[in-house]
Amino acid sequence: MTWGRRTITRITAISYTGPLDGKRRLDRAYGLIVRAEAGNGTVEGIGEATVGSADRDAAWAAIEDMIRRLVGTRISRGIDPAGPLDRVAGWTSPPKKAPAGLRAAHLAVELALLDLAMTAAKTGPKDVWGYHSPDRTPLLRLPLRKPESFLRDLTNQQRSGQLPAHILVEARAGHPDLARIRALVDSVNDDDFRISIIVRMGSGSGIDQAEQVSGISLSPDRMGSFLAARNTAIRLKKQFPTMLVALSASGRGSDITRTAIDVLGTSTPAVDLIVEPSRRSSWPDQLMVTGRAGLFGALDLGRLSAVADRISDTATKSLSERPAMNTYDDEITPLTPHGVPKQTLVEIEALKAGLSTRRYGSQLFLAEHPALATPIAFSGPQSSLTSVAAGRIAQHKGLTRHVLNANGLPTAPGGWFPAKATTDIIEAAAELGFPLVVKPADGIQGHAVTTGIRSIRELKAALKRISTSRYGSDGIILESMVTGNDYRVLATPTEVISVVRRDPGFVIGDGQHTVVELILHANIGRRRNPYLGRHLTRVDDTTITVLRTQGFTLTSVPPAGTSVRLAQVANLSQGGFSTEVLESTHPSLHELAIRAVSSIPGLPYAGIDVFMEDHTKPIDEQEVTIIEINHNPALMLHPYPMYGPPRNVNRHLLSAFAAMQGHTLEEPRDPLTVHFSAFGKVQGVGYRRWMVDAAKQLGVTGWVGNGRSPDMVEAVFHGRAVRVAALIRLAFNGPPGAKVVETLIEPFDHHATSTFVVHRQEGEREGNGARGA
Amino acid sequence: MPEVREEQATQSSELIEAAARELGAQVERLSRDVLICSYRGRTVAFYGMAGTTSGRFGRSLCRNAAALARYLASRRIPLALDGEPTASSDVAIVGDQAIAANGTVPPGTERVVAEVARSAARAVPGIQYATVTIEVHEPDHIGVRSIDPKLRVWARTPESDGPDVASAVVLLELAHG
Repeated sequence: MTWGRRTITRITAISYTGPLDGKRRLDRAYGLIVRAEAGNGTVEGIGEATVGSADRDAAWAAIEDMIRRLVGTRISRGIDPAGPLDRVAGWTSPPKKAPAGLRAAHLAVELALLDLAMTAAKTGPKDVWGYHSPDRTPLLRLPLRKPESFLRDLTNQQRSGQLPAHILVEARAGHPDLARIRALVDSVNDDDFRISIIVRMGSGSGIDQAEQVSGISLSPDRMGSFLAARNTAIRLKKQFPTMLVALSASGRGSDITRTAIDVLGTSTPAVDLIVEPSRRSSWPDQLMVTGRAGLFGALDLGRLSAVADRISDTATKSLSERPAMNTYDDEITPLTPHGVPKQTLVEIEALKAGLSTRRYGSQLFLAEHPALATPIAFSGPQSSLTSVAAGRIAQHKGLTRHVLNANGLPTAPGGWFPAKATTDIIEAAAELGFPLVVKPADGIQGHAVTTGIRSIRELKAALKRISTSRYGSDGIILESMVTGNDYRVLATPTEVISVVRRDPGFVIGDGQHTVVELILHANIGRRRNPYLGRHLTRVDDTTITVLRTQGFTLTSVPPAGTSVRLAQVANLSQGGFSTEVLESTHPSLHELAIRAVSSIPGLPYAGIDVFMEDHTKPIDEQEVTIIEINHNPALMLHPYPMYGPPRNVNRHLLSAFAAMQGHTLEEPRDPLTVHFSAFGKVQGVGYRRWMVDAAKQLGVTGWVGNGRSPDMVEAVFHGRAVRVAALIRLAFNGPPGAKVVETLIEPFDHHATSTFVVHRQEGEREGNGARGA
Repeated sequence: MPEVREEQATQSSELIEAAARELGAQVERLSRDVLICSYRGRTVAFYGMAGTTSGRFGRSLCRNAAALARYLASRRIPLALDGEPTASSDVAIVGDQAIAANGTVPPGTERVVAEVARSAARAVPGIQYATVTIEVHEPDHIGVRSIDPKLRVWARTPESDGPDVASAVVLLELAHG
């Protein structure tokens, strides 16, 4: 066997965000990808491991340390395939009982080096280690409590055909009752049905107990090493030939991890069984593409760029950047792991202003104050002052066109046609001239919209797209395609609150990174913006087409300083940028936006989409077109622009609504202390325990206890407003089993604790809070 | 270029159109369910029977029975009890007025029924008019079962109370709003 003699020239570590286990928890897992290159990028090796939230920072620090030490070292020829990494300078196995972060880092780097070594030698695991075909089986976990009834149920299900004839049950290393369980299993097993108990091997424990049962389960995740798992399996089988050796994985990670487990199982004859992991459905599935030697295919950076959140690259210290982006207090992003819910910011501002809030749904809340005769209520981003009739007009592009035209406001040349008036539309198209835009009158979020239509054939195709969509029953809009910069103006009938210019996405070359690497870096930057982090650049066919028109592909390395466009349109979901420009906006645009909001009766505020060349110049000196009036404007766009001064539009709107009732909001207070009440099914479901965990993770202090009625839990929260608000939003869902109907949050003056504790009622046993009450 | 389509109006929108014309308002039909009415310098858009003062928050809250009950309870408005009521009535509230009612309630309770309905409708943000369903339970409990801001029951009765309710809505929106 000849191994390529290569120097490791560059290693990139990338962390990506995995899903949460349901909407009720804060902790999630992260994927760690390591890509090692040798021969100046001609050979690549990749590896992956996963780690939980708590160990993420430690794992990342360990990876950064490892990759810095490894760059410049050589992978030598003639290394024993069972241990090729022993000859990589500075590479050592993880110590026994190493912390989880270090184990994950080690596994990811080790896999990348193994892959690199095999790829350099143009070989694969079959050639190096051989191949066999172990059985594949699901694995059940033995509970600590009532294991007898668990096993009895399994036996019954086997005999009724609900479970396979042979089942693997894994017990934790150190399980106190293994001998009794073994005896119990032996008494129910027969020739037809069998349960095998195996012990989970941790980093350095479990072998001694394996002899008491049928076998052992090994996991590279737990051992922090692919090679250690392989060598342990071989050693155990030699020592205990009848012992069942199973290979298991956490079920997290992408196809890279799944392939690693498969390779380990099929290349190690000592492995009897591969445990089929139960997949978490929303994990990114495919992060590699096939087609080279080694353990894995090539890393698909395009897919990875959609989930990547950190990068450490030994090739460059820093990437040449576009002008410095705004930076935000990034507390809000990690604290609201599903993205910042739409009403969070307005609720934070209400609480900071000393208002009470009541929530009745994820998109339904109101703010109260003794000085307000009527609460200020919100349904999504709409206040209760937004009439449903105004909403109906604004969401219907035909009605909006009509109202704007009737009020002398500029719309694109064109018309609103009945759905089946194809002949009329084609005649009108000839009159208008190309290029054209076609959209369903009742469409939302760009569905079935076609822009840049340049021929009758393309027009017919666009009409067909609408007819086969769920939209278009209310007619079709045909318009000339207008050009200019794309502005979102947030206005009320009396003033403009914010003007944001949206520009198409681009990256700037540095002469070192490929386009797809630049996109990945750009997305990691966007993730630090609480709003744009939800709208990352997606690499798709449109991106590839736009790149081609500029002479680039995803793997091109653009020269330093070259701007590379990623999209034709200023769509924030296609990597677009936002810049707040209110201060430099010409007053004539303010006047136009105010007239547009006022043209629809019953709109207290709206987002007006305007196309024009230059917002600093008068509107009568240029072409100006109102594209849309949004009665559900994205209020998060304005506090978090990528460039320009942020606007606290949520506080501004709340203040305006309070002023209508003669109330002046208090100056914002932060940190906050509030009294919290939740009503519904909140007792007997572990709500208090869940809240203690969540509060501790968020750094919120206070207490929680059962309320005066059986459908109530109450609490006091103290902490930074953003953290308190995050806890309040999570608490509306609560733990699995809870069903919250209402939460009530009121200002609270007294606070003295420095931790978060359960207040038990008199006579309530310690532990009830921890197990359900 | 065409901008408006000919469409058959919905029953509730027809009621509002007739009431607005009777008041002397200028009426423009934008679609089968959307009207723009102008009267003495005030312009209001109607979607079905819902005008400018009818918002989505109220509709969303009223669709969620458990949440509505909690909200009304926080305003100290009596709720209907579990179990079969002895009587029930749909009351059309527009502004401060009970405009119409169906069903039968025990003699002497009409005023209390109307008062409970009125305070329930007025308590919900973004609602100026609604059908409030009131239930009477033995011996003397009167409470709110549901609130319908779309006034559907009256839109279905164009020959009886529907026009009165529509007129009251139009008057509230155009003359008093």
